[in-house]
Amino acid sequence: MAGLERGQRERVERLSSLILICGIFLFSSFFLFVSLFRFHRLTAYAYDLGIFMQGVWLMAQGESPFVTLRGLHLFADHFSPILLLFVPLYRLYPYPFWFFLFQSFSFGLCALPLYRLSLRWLSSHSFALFFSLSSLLHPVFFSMLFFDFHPLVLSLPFLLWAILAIEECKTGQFFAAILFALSCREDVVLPVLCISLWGLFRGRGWCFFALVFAAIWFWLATTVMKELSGAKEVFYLALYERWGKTPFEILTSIFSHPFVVVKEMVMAKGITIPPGFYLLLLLAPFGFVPIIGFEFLVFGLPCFAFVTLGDRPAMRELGFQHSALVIFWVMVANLNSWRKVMGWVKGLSEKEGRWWQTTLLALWIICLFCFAVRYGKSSFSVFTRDKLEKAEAKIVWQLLMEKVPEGVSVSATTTFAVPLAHRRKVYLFPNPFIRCLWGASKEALRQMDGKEKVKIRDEGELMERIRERLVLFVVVKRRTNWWPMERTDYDRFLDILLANPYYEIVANFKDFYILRAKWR
Amino acid sequence: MWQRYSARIGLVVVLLSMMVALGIFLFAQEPPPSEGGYGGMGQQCICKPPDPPPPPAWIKINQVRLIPQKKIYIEWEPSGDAYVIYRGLLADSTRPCSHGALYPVSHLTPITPTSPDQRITTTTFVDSFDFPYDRPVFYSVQAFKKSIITCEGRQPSCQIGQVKVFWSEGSPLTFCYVVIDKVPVTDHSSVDSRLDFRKNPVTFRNYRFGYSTYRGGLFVGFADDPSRIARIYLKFLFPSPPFEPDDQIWDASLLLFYTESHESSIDIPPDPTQPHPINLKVYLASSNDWGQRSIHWSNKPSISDPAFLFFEGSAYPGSWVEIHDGKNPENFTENRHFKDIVANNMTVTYVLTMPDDNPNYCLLPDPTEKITMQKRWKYFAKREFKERWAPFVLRSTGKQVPTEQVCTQH
Repeated sequence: MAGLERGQRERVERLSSLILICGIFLFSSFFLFVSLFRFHRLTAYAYDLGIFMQGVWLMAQGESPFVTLRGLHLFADHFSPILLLFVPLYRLYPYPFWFFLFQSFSFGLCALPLYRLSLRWLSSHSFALFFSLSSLLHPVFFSMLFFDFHPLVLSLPFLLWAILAIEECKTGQFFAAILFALSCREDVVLPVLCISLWGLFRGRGWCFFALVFAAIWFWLATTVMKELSGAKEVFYLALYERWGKTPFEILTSIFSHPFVVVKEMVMAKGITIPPGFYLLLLLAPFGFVPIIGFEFLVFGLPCFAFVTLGDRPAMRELGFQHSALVIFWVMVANLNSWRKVMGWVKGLSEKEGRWWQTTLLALWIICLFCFAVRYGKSSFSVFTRDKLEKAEAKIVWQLLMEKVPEGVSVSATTTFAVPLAHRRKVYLFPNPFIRCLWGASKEALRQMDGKEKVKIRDEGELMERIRERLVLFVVVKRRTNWWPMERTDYDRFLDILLANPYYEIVANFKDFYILRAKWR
Repeated sequence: MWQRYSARIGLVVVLLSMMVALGIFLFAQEPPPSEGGYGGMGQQCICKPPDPPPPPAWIKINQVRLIPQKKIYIEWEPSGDAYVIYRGLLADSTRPCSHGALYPVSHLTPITPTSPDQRITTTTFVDSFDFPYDRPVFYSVQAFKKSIITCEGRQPSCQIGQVKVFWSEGSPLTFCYVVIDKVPVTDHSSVDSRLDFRKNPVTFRNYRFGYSTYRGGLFVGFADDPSRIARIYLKFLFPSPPFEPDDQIWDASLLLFYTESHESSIDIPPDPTQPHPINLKVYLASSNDWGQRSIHWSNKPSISDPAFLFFEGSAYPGSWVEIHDGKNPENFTENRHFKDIVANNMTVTYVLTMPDDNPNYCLLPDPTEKITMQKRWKYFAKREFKERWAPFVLRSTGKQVPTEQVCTQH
């Protein structure tokens, strides 16, 4: 009898594993497909894919990864040693597919620790499957994964794995998980510190070493960034300048102004997200259920503060990469909440309990599905609106490959810099004619956030720079993403470029132009 | 018992929180989705731009002028709200177009502003440039459509009521080409009706001016002396169009180099800085059977009646006169264009007279007739006077070509 039960249990486990793997594969494949679609339709951006393509390509060539798209060493911009994993793959086949593959599957693999946690807390394979896979429908993931590539997103499964390791009391796995997570980006130190504190709260004394390790890692990461950028401080601290200049000053200021901090956190405003909606949109898709599992949310508060107190509104966009620092807390809190809810259901009669269970689960999944459809659809339209039609994209790709030889210097607008990123000198237009978004400076940060638009200040000086023929090729399009310039300045620059005697048009398709410097 | 109640309270709270979440989804204004931060479009509204308009059905060359400066007048079918005009030349290279198009065009570049707010909105454009001769110049027009959208506030970054102007992508290009050539005069001479008083009865002197280059060699006018009337005969042998035999004539004008006037009337302005009025009638001769060496008053071909056009212009001595268009001599409200009496593969003789001349003067005059007009001569240069000042016809030929037959090369 016991053998029969064990056999049935094993069958259920096998079936659950199979469904889980299929679910992960389906979710990941969908996002992989969309990422490749965007890349091939020339919708990917220089700063969200091009930087990594150029940096990793340079390392694969055995060169120092100084990224000309950003005017910075790859690891001075963000300390992401996990990118080294892509180097052998890039040597094998230099193609951004690897980035998309890892990003999509790292997202899908979040379901694994979630499944294990659910199984541990809810003791049911079906519930575990249901919650682990449906959690991937949170709208935050759509923009995060449609939007090119960010190493920060790779940290998600490792952070969840670290929480699982604390729960299962597996020290080795925990340290492996945080090592991988930390290698994704320097700011992952914060969630690792928070997870370690939670581990200590759960009575896992060895988490103290993780605290020390994370602190050392942070020091190492910031030292490397400072050294490589030549700056005295990590320039991203400028995002918290209104709180203080050094990390200590920032923390002191935050703790000494609790009301201001709480107000800013609750009423956080993104570029397009109205005040107060960021928090709502993180919790509402899960029907606000994660609030019941508030313990996790409390430990996640520093991560939420990190995202909401910075001067960069983009960090508060629902699907922006920084949400990765927060969303895993919400996901775990959601599971913890359902553990509590199921506990309450068990206290009722079987019939009543079943009614409550069915009603709440149905309502929850309806809620999640509604948000997923609404935000998934609009995110897809936002991130594919600049796409070229299939035939057009084919022609433009062909022109780019045929007319711009390998290895020559080129300046291109953000979407065209991506297919040209595998070279030593590729610049984000209007660089190098107008120096902008360059290096480790506050000015570059302001330009990046659109707070300071790049303008043509002196046409004579600009002509002089064009005359110098700083790059051999320029790739531009009339109606395109003209960031970081104002549209009027962008159009003016194009008029100057198309009419000047120093560059000639070597290819033109509709309003897309490839210009080549004339010989002196 | 208390445990059950507390569990129910907890479950009701969960149920209510889900209802609130659904309420937010259903009733709250839709919080806009992320636009992707610094790599994204930034502060753009996602209202869709309009579809491109259809390409203009036709584009044509209205005029080609040489005086006072080289100009090409272009016109096209209205098709959108704004336009960009491109100009290119037939590529020198023999490299064929990749997809079998007939016309490889090089350096096709915009000649009107391309930024959305500065594009031209008219359907005509005058291109002043130093056009080459005997080489096809390609023009193309691209139409753009504008739509003004009042954002509803549901799109990212849109404030409610914010008005945004969106321009479509450009339409496909519509092409035409023009080949401008100079057709030199074949034979040219003046004839005059001076009388030979040595004979009785008095007859025409029938002087053969031949290769005479007095004051330029060609003259037209009246005088109350025995020379009486002078006309200019110009014979042109128009070759087939220089580029393709089936090209149509876009435009044409007759150019004469004006050397001086010799007159005793009020036509010459007293101020030497003012241009002289040049008023001429242009006739077609009934025959081309005449030669520069042999033509005189009595054997000259007769001329059409009435004149084809009446030209009113002005010029400084020592400058070109371009006879491009004029009035219908019988109905001054109607305009006539010189191009209408220009041909391909044909010989045509034009006769220039003063305005008050008429075909009847071809008759032998009554010796008792008293011509009361004063002396009024206009002199023009002959080839023999100076080769580069010889009369010529500026002829512009070409046609509209289907877009798929054009490929651009750089």
